[in-house]
Amino acid sequence: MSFKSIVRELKEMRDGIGSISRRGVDSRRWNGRTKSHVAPDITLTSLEPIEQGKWANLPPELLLDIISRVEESETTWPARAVVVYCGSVCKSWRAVTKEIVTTPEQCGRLTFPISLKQPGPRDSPIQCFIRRNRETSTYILYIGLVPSENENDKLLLAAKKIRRATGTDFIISLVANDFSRSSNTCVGKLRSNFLGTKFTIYDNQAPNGAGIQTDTCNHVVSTIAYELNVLRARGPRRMHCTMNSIPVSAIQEGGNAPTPTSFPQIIDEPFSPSPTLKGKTEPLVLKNKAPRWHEQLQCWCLNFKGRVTVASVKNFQLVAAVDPSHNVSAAEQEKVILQFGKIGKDIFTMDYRYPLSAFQAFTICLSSFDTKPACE
Amino acid sequence: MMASSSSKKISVKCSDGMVLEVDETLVNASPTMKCLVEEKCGESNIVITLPNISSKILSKIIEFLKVDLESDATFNDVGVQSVDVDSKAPESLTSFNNLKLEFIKFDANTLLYLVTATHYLKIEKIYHLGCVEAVRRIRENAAK
Repeated sequence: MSFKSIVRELKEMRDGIGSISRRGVDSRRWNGRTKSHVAPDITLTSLEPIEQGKWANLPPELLLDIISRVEESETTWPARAVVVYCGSVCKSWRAVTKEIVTTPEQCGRLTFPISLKQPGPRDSPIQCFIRRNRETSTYILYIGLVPSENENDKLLLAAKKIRRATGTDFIISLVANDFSRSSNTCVGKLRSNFLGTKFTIYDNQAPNGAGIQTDTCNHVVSTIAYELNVLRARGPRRMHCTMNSIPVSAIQEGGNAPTPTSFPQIIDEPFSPSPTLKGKTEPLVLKNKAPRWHEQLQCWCLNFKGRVTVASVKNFQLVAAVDPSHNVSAAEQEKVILQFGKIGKDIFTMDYRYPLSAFQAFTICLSSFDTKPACE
Repeated sequence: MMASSSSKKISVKCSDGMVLEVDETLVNASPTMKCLVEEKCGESNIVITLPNISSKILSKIIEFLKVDLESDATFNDVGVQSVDVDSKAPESLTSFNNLKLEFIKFDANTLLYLVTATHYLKIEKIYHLGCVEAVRRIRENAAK
C-alpha cells in the first residue's frame, strides 16, 4: 500500500463520521504547525485500517489504556497534537480521548481548542507569548515561555485589528489566516470606544457553553476600563476589568468558574442573546496591581519574576479587586491572575491562571495595545 | 527456564478450529488459560478453547513466551529490561530487542489481534510491548 493511499484512507475514515467532521477540521487546523519526524531506517507499516472499524472497535478498557499512554507521553506542544489526533480518528476514540483529557484547570495542559475557553490552573500560570505584526495589524498568541529558535511554536489564538469610525475592533480566531466572523474559527471579538478608554469583550457562546454559532458575537464576557491616574501626574494608568462571565464566588472558598465543554453548534435559526450571569450574582472585577515608585531608579516597578524585561506602559499585572465583604482569602487576593509585558520588539509575554481562560486573557492583553495617548 | 520435554502438554483449541499442543508452563503464564485449565482439572485429556484467538496469533504469543522464559532478564513495570550483570547479558538483551523489532514488523491487523489477545489472556509483558508499538504508530500517524 502506498504512503499516499494510507493517508487518504485514514482521512476518509475520519471525514466519514458525520458529527465528528467538525472536530476533524479542528484537529487538522491544530496539526498544521507540527513538523514531520525524520523517518527511521527500518521499514515501517503505519496503523492502516485495512478493514474500517477494526481499531475503532477495540474493547473500551484496551482503548483507554492505549490512549492514556499516548496522552501521558506527550504533555507539551507541538508533540501534544497526537492527543488531538486520537480524538479525531473515529467516534469511539473521540469518546475515550475526551474522557482521558482533563481541563487546563486540572492538569495545566492545553489540548483541544475548547481548552482556550476553560479556566487555567489554580496553582501556577500557563505561560504564553504574543507576537505583534504591525504590517498586517495581527497579534498571535503562542504557548511557550519565549519564541523558540526553530519557530516551531504552537499557535493558540490570532487577532486582527480593524479600525472603524467609532473605535477599533479586534476579531479573535483559532487560525491566523481567517478572521471572518461567520467562519467557525471565529471565537469572539474585542471592541473599543472612540477614545480607547473602554473595551468590551464578546464571546460567541455563553459561559456555560450554550449558544449557537452566529456571525455576531453577542455574549459580553468583560468590560475593561482604562483611566488616567489623576492622583499621580504621569503615573501609570489604572485598569479595571469587570468579568461579566465570572462570579466573585469563583475565587471564594470552594468556588468554580464557568467551564464550557464544547464549542457552539452551527444552527441556522434566529438567535437571541442570553444573559451571561444571573441578575444577582456579582461579577468578579480585576484591577491592575499598583507599581511601586523606585526612588533610586526613578521609575515605577512591578515584580514580573523575570517574565517581562522591557519597560512599557503596556505592562501590567491583574489581581482581584475585592473588599472584606467578599470573603476572599488573603492568599487568593495576592495571586496575579494575568500578567502581560514586553520582552522585545513586538514580542510580549502573557501568563494567565484561574479563573481566566486563554481567550479572556488574550483579549484583555489586546486592549492594552489599543489605548490611545489620552491614557498615557 | 526451558520447559522439559516430559512436561505436560495442554491442548488449546483456537478460533479457526486448529488445536495447538502447548507446554503447561507456557499455558500457566496466562492467568486466563490457567483458570480454564483448572476448571477442567478432573478430566484426563484437557482441552481448553479460545474462541476469540486464532492459531496464528496464539503461535506467535507462544513463541514470545518461550523467548521470555528462556532469557534471564527481568522486566520492570515500564517494560525496560534490567539485566543482572553476571547473567548472559548480551544474549538476553538481544532477545528482548528482537521481540521489540518483531512488533515493529507486524502489519496493523496482526498488531491489533496480538494486543487484544494478550489483553484477554492477561500476559502483561507481551501486552505491554504491543501497546508500546501501537502508541508509537499512533504518534507516527499524527506526525504525518
